[in-house]
Amino acid sequence: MKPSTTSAKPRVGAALGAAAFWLLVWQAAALWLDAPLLLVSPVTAAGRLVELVQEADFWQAVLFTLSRIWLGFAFSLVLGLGLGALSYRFGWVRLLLAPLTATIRAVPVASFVILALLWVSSKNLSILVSLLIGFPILYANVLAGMDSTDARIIEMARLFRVPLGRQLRCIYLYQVLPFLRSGLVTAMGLCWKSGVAAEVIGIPDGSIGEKLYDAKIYLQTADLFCWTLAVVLLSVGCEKLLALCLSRVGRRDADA
Amino acid sequence: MLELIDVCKRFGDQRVLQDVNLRFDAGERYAIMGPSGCGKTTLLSIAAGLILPDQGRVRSNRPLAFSAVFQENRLLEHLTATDNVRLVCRSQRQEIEALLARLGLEPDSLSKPVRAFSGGMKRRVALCRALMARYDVLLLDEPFKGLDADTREAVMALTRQITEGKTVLLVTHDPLEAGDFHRIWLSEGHVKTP
Repeated sequence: MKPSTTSAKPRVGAALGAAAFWLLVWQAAALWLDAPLLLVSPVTAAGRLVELVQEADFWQAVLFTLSRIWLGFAFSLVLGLGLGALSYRFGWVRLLLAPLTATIRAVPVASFVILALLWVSSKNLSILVSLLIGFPILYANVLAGMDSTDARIIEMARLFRVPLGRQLRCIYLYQVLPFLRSGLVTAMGLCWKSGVAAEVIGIPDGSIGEKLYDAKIYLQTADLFCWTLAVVLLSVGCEKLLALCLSRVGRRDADA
Repeated sequence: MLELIDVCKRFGDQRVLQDVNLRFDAGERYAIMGPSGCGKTTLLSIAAGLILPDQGRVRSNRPLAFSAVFQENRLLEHLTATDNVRLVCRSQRQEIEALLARLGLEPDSLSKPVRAFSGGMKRRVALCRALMARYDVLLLDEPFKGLDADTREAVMALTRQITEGKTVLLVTHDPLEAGDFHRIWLSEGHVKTP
């Protein structure tokens, strides 16, 4: 196969160009509509964001939501890894979990939130919702990775009586990593979407969701756009951070 | 002692082993010979318990630990040669590296993942892994395949030396490789008496 000749610089340039194009479209639409209550311009939203980042309240809300979404995401990873491994090992676990994961995938986030509010405080709602949204994705990816392990390698490990811990580390983890890599980034994005949506419904004090809700109630369209922008930046930032960490793990593995 | 009693095995319509009765004594070395597709590899797999016979049974006087060079290398391509061996044994790194060196692997190559190795180098890593593992019975399925003539001779001599007094089942087409091992001939799934 021919190596790719596309360097990183033109790709970044093209991405920035595309982003600039859509910002211009947004700006033109705001100017044309001339109704800041319905659509604020990107300049106004960015200006409001600059104002907000100087307030302690902004960072408290970011920390509140960020910590809970990461916690839910971490739980979903642990659960996905653990149950994925168990399902791979025991057919009956796989069978038992199949309807559960299918249901979790199909049920709308709003239904989860309303049901969950009966059981947990709104403060911890985004943890539970992130967990429920991230888990089926990570579980499916872990299982697909383990299923793709070469049966001859497993047979070799069985014959040589390789201890389970060593099998998990040297055989399965290596196999699961590429699957997990894409699953983790997807799950992180969805955890943000659903976690913030849960906060908007549950309105926990001091969360980004509460700020979005307030902005909607008080018709503060600039704040609404600004908080949305903040969520987008946080979500993309987390995804990039995760992708960077995973690429380092992959590189270390390739160097091993 | 390991014994195969009235062992039969089919894969679909194909009869691979038919009424095989064999006894392998501890500390003895056996060369299982015969044309391609006569059931040699299947016989090893049944002896090791990797596949079950359709009929008959495998008997031993105690639970046995097996080690093997499979028909394919079955190495973890992302690990180094030393780490592939360490996967199956608790031997010290130096001890493993010494045997790899005796098998003709250059010290420089030991820090690279085996995916960078040639077929012959991989085969020697697989052989080193089998020799270093703790075992009662060593199964060698064409272990010298893919080695050039000089290397093959040296590796064969070393393998014979290391496995002296151990129970070994060697699958080979080559009478030279069989050396002074007890020879068992397989033909169309049957054991043939020479």
